[in-house]
Amino acid sequence: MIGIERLDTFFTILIGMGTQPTSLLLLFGATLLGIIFGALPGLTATLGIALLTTLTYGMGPAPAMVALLGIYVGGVYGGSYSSILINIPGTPAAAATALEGYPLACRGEAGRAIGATTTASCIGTLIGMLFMVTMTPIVSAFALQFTSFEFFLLAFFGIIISGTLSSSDLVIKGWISGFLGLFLACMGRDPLQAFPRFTFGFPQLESGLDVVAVIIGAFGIPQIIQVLGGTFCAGEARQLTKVLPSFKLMVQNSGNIVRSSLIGVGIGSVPGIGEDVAAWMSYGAAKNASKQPEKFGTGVYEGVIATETANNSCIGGAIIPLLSLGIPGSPPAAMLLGALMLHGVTPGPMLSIEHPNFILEVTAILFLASIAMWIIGIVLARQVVKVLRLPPQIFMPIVVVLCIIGSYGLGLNLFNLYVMLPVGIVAYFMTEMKYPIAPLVIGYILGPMADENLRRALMISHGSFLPMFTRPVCLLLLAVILLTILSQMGLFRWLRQRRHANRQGTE
Amino acid sequence: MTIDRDNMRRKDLVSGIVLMLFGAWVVYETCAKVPMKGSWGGVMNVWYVSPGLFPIFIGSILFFFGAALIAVAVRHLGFHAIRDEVRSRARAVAGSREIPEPVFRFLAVVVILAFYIYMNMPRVDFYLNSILFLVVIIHVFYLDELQVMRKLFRFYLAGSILFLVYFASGLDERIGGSIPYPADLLAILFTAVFAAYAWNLVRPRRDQVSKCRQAVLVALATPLLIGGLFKYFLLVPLPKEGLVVALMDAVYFGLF
Repeated sequence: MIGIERLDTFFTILIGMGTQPTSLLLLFGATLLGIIFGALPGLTATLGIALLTTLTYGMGPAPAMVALLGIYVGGVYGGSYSSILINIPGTPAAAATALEGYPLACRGEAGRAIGATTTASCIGTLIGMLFMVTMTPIVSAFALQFTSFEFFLLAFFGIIISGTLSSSDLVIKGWISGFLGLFLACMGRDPLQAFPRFTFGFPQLESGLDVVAVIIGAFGIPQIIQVLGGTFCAGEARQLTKVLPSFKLMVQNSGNIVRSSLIGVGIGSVPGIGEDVAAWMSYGAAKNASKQPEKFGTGVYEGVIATETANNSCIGGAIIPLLSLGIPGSPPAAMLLGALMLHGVTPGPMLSIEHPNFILEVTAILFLASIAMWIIGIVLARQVVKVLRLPPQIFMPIVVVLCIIGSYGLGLNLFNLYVMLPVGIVAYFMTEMKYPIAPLVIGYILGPMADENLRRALMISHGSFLPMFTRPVCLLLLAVILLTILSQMGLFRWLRQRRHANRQGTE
Repeated sequence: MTIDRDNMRRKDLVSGIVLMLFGAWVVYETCAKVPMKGSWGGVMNVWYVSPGLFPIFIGSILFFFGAALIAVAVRHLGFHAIRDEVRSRARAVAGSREIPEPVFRFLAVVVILAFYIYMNMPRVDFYLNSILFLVVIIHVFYLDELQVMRKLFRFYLAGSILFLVYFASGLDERIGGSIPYPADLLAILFTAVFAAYAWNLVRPRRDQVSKCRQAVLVALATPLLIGGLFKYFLLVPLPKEGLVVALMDAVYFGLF
């Protein structure tokens, strides 16, 4: 009965949004902007959401979500354009797409490849959406049983797991990045007693660092420095004649699509790791499952379909922990969390109580955004790819101006700009030294939750850590955190190698 | 691959030291300034409620992680690496005459951004400041020839230092008493002179001249579009509203 009521509410919201010209205009505009952002190498969906957040200040939460989810879906999909046409991934999420997409474009099949990625991305987003709408209430209901100890460990778990999985070099670098984010979150008056910490006498720092300034600084400035500071050279775009969505190809790849979607949703729901990991994992899985794995790398449709389905289904997956626990599943979701907080919506277990229809609204928006993305992808692809001719030395400075006005627009505070640049420079050096940036932002966002809940929990237990070992969820989280940390230690690896050697010896 | 890894471990050595120092500073700063016990704002503190608990935890972990990074780097490179690293860095600093290209590019981006944000943003009209920034940064990087880039950057640096002296000496306020918007007028002058200098540098080459034209057009159009959108559509006041904003206000409010 409740299910039918929810379905009825969903369709009412969907029809309401789908028939409102302003909503549709906003949705199509944001999705197109997202595709352009994704297509331009150097610009990512995360930065797109960060910049668009500043344009949504004056809107209510629902129209703001229309714009932000539109740019998110478009941004993740748009990366495939430059991957296929110039062999330069527009976003990290589309890096795996280039392996098969560019050889296809060289064979003159760019239009068919973009048609396939467009349809795959649309299906991926829809499957991710289905998981989001079914899983979020379940996880939220479960999380309602959590106490302060669980929330502290959950925040800690988010940082450790995102640090572990997003590091391309030493895992410890991911953890360091997360803890630096936690330090940034400590700046300003503390959440329980309003004692000023690390304010250095600046009254502007008393309320802490603004989330948009930190995120734009951490994601935007390093990209600007990398593109302008490096000798970036865009390749010549391949010709795009006609975009053809091949439904026969999609039916042939239905197993591939389901598998890639599941990988995308699974990866997306793990805090901090995003679309790029999902795309690579599904590419590997598609190759392993293929009857002709040796053909991978020469232009195989299975490859582009797998990567694009996975990176778009990751969106729904990343929104599950975001809405149910307040922990972002991917870097763009981290920005989305910041945007939601700016609009007075606090994601977490209480969301379904405070805003009963919010999850359904997000579902309806994701549904419409995936349709908008498919329509734009098929109809306007030839026009959109023209942006690939824009030299990065021209569009990056424009992005700087957008970053500046975006950071300033929040609270009309010049101090945000003064914070943005140093954060960006530190993030740039961290990127150069292979420290992942996503854990930094996740640490910054989860910092207040960790700080407040740790102290609140200790206050309740009068300074005792014992409840951490007596509550089942705490024990589970502690075990996962400890296992994650220990698995990276030399002793653990040695034990594993020894066990492996013993097994081989017995055989 | 091994060379890359060696280089990365050398960088880790440096970042490990920085992290250890930073972690120690976080712990020291917290212990020195944040009360672990006693009363604050009417609340009687015990250690586990103290606002210092979490920063001490973070500082200690960062210190430990920094030490771990150093340990990994030393185990990979050997103890002699620390000595070699210090020597090679000292030699590199002493022996370098000209900044290498990647460092120069990085410095150019950061310096241009720093002047744009810290010096001009609170003092020069947003439009004029953004136009100056875009004219400079697009010319410097779009023309993409190292010699031209260096010359243009030096020219910009010299002009910006003059601006710095002008603002620091208080001349702006004194002149502002008799001439309206003196900083904005100087920004217009500097932008025009910079564009002319850049054009003069590449004048014999038609492709480069065309790039200069594009740079100026983009620089003029972008702030008008973005600034206009924020100011008149989203009703967000701009960081500094000076000569151009006053002109646009007059036009906009005259029309609507």
